[in-house]
Amino acid sequence: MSIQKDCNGQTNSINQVRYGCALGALHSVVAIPGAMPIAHCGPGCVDKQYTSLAFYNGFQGGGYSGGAVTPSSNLGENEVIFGGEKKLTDLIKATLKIMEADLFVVLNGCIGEIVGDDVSEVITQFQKEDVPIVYAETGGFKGNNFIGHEIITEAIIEQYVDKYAIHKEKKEKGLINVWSELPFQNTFWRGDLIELKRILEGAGFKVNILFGNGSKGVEEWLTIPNAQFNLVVSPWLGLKTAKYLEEKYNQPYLHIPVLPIGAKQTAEFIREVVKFGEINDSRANEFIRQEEEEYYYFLEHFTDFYAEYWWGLPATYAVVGDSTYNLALNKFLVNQLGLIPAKQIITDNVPKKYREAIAKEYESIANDVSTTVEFIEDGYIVGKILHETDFGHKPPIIFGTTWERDTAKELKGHIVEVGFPASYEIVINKSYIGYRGALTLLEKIFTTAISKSA
Amino acid sequence: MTYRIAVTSSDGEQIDQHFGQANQFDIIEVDEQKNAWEKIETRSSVIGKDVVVVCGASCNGHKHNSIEEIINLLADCKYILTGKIGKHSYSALERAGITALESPVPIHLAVEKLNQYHKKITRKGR
Repeated sequence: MSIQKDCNGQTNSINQVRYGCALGALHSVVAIPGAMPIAHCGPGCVDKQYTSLAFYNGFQGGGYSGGAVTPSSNLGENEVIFGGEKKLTDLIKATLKIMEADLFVVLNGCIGEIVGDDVSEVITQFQKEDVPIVYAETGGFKGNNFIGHEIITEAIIEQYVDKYAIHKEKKEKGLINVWSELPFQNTFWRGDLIELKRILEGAGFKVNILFGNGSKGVEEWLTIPNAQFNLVVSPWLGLKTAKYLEEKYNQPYLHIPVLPIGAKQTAEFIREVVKFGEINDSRANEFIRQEEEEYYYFLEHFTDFYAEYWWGLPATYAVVGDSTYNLALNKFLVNQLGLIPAKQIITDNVPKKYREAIAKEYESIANDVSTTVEFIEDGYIVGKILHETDFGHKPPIIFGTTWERDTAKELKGHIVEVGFPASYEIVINKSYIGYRGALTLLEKIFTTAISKSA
Repeated sequence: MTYRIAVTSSDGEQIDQHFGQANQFDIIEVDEQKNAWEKIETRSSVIGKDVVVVCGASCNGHKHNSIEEIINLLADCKYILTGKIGKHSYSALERAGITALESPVPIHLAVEKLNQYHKKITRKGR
């Protein structure tokens, strides 16, 4: 039996992991203030997903309901043979006794899904008693945590929001639901979502950012049906949710594939959302004016450094990472910094149906700059391709992950970690997007570039 | 192929009782292929003169069966179905080739499920 390889020589097993399993999306629940995941899975699953996504990736930490807190049924041989439903029931009862949360989300993992545990039956019993609990079928083999994220989102909306939201038919003008980064997987999500919310509020909207400290948590999720429209800010993640909400609550959606970094892209972004939302643009215009004043004040000072050639600053770059950050960075690096794109690799295993549209975005990074993108996850192949790329005569700058560090060294280039796994970054509230994040990103890029010889 | 299961049960239907406190074991013989089973006998676990308390480690003086004696008693069994069993006893049984399981379901269901599992993991070539 021959092994199937794709056009880049990649099989269905990869070296150097780029994401978690579907159960890893338990972190999306952790990201909702007041929500707690309950994992119905084997004894090592949550530990593995936590250590990779939330620890050796910016050392983000588990927060209120993640890490060692997450209740787990630790399924063993007994449950494989006799089923794990009783163990799950006991676990939920114990959790309700000693854990406090506004919403519990039970996640069925590989073992439960394979041996046929009827998690829905168990949860339904609790739901009948008005316990705020839902279930999601996130067997690890269903896909990665990007896929798990939307499975969970839909489950929460279907079983909790739909049940407890009041006046679901009422739409509030100016209220929007934002579907963007993948919490924890996107290392800088905490700072990023706060900046994204700030930008949209500045433009005049009331924002359901839904995840992170800027969100009012579970009570905010209950207002999802009242939003005027859904805003998807990513190349593909969130589209499924938006389409689902369009059908369920009659909400239109706006899809903006480019997560804005920098003043130019952010202004374009704001104008597009304001136009779609048909709200008065005077507030947005004033906000943009104020922000640009501050942004360019700082950039002006920065140009003393940037205009010099002393340090042999990089001219060409490669971006290796998930589609959201990959496209966002490409737009910023070309349009605001004038760097030259050499190689772009997207590593989040984008569902096939979205790939063509995403590749098209790369064809028009700027009106005079076009580039191509490849969809690869295997670390060996990524390294090989980077080695074969022509970066010109100056050392390249690679925006990637810890996996690309060795390659960057071999190419005598610079590396900035921008995605999972970012094991050489401590991330607390740093953002790389919008107005403020762009300046932080510039600090990072050029600190890296000039420290090379230190 | 047949194999035997030892069951701790207070009423012949539920699988209850703590393994270490059971007075007797119902021995069930299973015909793998036919998915059929029957109880062939009941064995008392009162070997010594005093109260039966099986504890894998020493426990300060009172007379009780050691886990080794229980293993001898059930040496012809491949599995044990019980309500609860301690870690030490579990490991001792594993080393002797006996798999102890805590079953949340009654005997007739448990034996059926166990046989399905047993057939899967003892397939030819594994």
